[in-house]
Amino acid sequence: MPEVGRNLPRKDGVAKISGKEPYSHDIHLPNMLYAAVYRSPLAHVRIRYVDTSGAQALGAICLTPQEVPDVIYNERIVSIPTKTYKDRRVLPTVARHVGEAIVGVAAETEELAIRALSSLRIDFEPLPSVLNAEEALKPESPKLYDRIWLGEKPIEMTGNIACERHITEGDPEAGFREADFVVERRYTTPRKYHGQMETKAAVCQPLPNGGINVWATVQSVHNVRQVLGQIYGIPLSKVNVKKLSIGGSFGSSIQMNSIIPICVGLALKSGRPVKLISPREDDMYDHSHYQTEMVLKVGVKQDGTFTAAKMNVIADIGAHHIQADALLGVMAGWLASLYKWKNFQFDGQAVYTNKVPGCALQGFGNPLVNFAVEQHMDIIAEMLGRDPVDLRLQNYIGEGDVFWGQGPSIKSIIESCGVEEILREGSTRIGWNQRREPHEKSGRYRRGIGVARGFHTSGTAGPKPGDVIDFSSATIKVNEDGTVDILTPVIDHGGGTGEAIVKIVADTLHVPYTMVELSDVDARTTGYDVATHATRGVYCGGGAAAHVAEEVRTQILAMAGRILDEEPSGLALDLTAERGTHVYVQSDPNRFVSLKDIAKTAQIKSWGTMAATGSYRQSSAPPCFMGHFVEVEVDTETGEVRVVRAILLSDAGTVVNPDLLAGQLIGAFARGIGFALQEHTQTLPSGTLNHGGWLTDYRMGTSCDVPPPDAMDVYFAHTYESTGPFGAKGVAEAALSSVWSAVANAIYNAVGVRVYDLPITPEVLLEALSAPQLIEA
Amino acid sequence: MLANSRVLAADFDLINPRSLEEVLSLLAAHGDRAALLFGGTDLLVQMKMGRRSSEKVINCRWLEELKGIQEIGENLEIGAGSSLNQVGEDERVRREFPALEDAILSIAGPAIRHMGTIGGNVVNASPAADAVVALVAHRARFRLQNQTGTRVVDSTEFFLGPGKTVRRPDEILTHILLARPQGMSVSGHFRKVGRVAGDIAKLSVAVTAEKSLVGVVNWHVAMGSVAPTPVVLCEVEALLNHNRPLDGDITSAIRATVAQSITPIDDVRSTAWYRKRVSGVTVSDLCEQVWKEFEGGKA
Ligand SMILES: Cc1cc2nc3c(=O)[nH]c(=O)nc-3n(C[C@H](O)[C@H](O)[C@H](O)COP(=O)(O)OP(=O)(O)OC[C@H]3O[C@@H](n4cnc5c(N)ncnc54)[C@H](O)[C@@H]3O)c2cc1C
Repeated sequence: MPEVGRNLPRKDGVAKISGKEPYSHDIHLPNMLYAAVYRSPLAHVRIRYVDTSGAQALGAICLTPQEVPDVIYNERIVSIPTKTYKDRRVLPTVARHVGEAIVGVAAETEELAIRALSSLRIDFEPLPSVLNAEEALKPESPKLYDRIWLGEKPIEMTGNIACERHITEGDPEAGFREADFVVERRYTTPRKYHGQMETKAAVCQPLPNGGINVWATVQSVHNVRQVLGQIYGIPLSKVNVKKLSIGGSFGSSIQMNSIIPICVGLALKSGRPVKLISPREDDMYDHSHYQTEMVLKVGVKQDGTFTAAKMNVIADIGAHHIQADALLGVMAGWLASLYKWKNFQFDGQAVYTNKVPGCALQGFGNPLVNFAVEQHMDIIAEMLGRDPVDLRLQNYIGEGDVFWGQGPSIKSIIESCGVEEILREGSTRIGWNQRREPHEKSGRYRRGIGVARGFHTSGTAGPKPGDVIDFSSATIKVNEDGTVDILTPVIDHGGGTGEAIVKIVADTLHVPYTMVELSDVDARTTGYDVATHATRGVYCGGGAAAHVAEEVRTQILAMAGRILDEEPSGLALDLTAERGTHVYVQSDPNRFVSLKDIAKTAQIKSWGTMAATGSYRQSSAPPCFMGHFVEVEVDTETGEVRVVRAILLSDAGTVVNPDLLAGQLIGAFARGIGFALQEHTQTLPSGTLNHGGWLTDYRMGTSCDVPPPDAMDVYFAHTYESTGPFGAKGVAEAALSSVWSAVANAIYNAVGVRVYDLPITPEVLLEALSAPQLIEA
Repeated sequence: MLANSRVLAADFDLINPRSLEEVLSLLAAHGDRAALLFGGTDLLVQMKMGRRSSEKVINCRWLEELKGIQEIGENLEIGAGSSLNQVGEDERVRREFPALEDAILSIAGPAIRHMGTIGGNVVNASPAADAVVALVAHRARFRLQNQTGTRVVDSTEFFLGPGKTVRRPDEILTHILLARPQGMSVSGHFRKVGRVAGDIAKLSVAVTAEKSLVGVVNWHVAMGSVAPTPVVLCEVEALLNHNRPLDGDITSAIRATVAQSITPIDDVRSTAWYRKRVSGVTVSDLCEQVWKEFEGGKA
């Protein structure tokens, strides 16, 4: 029985529930200092001078903007260098948002470090600030930057546009002329917080040879190692970044976290290990999700076929360009890959503002585009008098079509597609044909059913190299008792990527799950992996592990051949209850040798270790599809929305970890409800956040705010992705892609009011319900 | 950020008195410069946030004298140091002061309710304090003590503004007094409108009433988070105490009246407009719920 597809105990389960699993917060080194960070109280300010004498009098060691290397970098190096925009230093001489780190301080205790912060005297020169994209686009508005860099090329800034992307396919204008109807709407999505459980932390140990060891919250040990090496001018052989468990990140650590190089700078300056843990409030001032405005225009014929789609996007990226160029590319890709528009145009602008920097959040623009497109589908269906599910089935992009979710440079032909199964199964389970129109409903409490479908890519690889780096590595070796060690650089966000890799290797080598373990590794002991992002952990990281395991398998057969005196081609590897993992002679199955004996013999006879190291790039980036059918109840007197029932359907190819997949679907759904109905970060005119960084004021939903477990139905489509390990694709980000749209569509079905701006709070909905009814065109 | 929820960096003396008497003498000596620490679920948060600083922190967490719930005369006397869980789980509270039980269950989660005390909820005097709204509806009285003696203040007169009460710096709240209903059946409910479960209230309502031979009487209605202090909705109470069936006319009248009795503001949780609109709805909902319970024969 294969291990892939079984529910098995997590490898780190006991350690995690008993509190013994080390996170970067738990790392303690002898003689360690504790650090804290002074952050800008103003939205835009030049730091003329930092007087650290007061802090030093308390025994603190300070790191000021004058003391950090004058290196401009981008903390995210997932894109190729020529597509990487650079605008930041470890500590800036001009702070560009409230909460930007200005000075690092280390002291014997964290309390002392925080007290030392209040003894800093900083000479500020306030600069005019701009706090929304619309303002920032005006020529007379204050500029954030005079110069930024694209790769090694300087860009002189004339305004606040960080980058633009214009992508056209076919002839959109002709397409719109051909249409019977053209539907245009404006949708907005707000800033919001990643809300990962673990706030960012870093520990840095300076080494006598000039090198550093780093334990930190990261999504890629290798990228952090490289950026640190680049900033501090240390050869990579002397920079080590350890792989640890992380308490989630939802995309906020794809880039190197801003506190890591500050911690390193303090460690190098003091010559002592330094630990820097972000308080929650610092974390909320450190990263945010992008705020966007999307104007979507779609041309459609009476028969429901599309003639053209055009989307204009303005993304408010905040004070730093972390990955806005990629964001616009993927937003175009998500749009292009959802439905057969025939003609297509995307125009996007990413705009700097004096706000907390925006970065990816589970789906990287996908749920945003989905919020527009999947509401648009319902609007069009209603206009044409069509069933919303049918209209989707008529136009979706599926098997044999081109998918380019990760942007125009990453195109794949879709080979496995569960869209139809998802939509049909979801319809049956929710009772779609009993669904009534809004005008048929009355009374104070009204229920509505909504559908939305989405997807995400599985990784960013493909047949040709693109703008994004994508490959992974693994080292696998067989121990002398027949157990197996895996050295994988792939970070597990907590979703079970590690277990999936273990199962993939176990099945490739026919070794039981219990005999395969993940080793403690770091950047030094592993080959490169770009990051656990883009839903690539299982498909790309697991794909590389499968690839390397194949090599180990070849070695096992070769060693067994020496023992059995047979050609390896006549041998087979298998696992049975009586023999365990063994190699047998195909023409004479009674002749066999166990893996344990092979490994032991290889050691005694000094033949060597059966082990392989390798890197692998997937040849595709297949979409994992998703569908949400949601029932809500709206209290028309209070505007409160309760999600009462949901069917969550995924197409992840072969399901590697069924219980963990269900957990991902339910977890993302729970979070999605919060984003749909509640979560929202506003920047006040002072540049501070409306919630001040306090979690009590930025409320996230609880387990009481989701439907009870028996009202959430999880379904896995039956597909097989032949390019993936054992047929698997990804799922993680797909799970969130269509939640907001499904909730918005369900609300419309309940009360006949459509809200185009997230979040749909009771305040917003009650106001909309109180306004004179707008009839959908 | 200097203020943060991670580390309490401020310097202060922590004093661990062994008796109430000792606390009273410490209060007499330090008054305003001291803070009493009970569960710390308000105080420590405020100190970390830099909203409050105290040279002395007097730890009252272990004072057995202020814990426990007793029937004394016509009253139920709740020790101010009783945990929210202890009060919410008490059989007498659940039977006779159901709005208080409801309100306590709406506070945060079990862990905070284990640490937080009923007295802390009162003296902290947040306009959003949940147990307070129910206590006001139940017309609780508060016993304060200093070195010279004790006094009892009505809950309706105790609160002066956010964080402000009639308590003098040398006084400690020792007990909460609740007059037990006499031989009649009681109903009461509390509802908090929050952004998510266990949230700080956008608005909250407590309604209590008793059934007598002549009908449903003694309606009390209080609200939280819609004014600087908890609000007693006297006019709504008057409407209800007319003792007629609660029909559509009265509910519309209630809704209209509520909006005039409150002065809500815009803040991070909600808007003044929404609070006004939904306060009326929530009050009339809760009144109907209480009414129906008596009608439905629960009484
Ligand atoms: C995560 C979280 C969620 C919360 N959710 C809610 C909620 O939903 N609803 C709600 O109402 N509250 C909520 N609170 C606030 C808090 O838990 C309650 O107000 C609690 O009852 C406070 O009690 P305490 O014992 O912890 O008070 P402390 O913090 O110890 O004291 C609070 C203040 O009152 C003073 N004080 C306390 N007891 C006395 C006394 N006997 N005499 C004189 N002065 C005294 C203290 O000096 C201090 O100024 C929440 C708090 C947290 C941390």
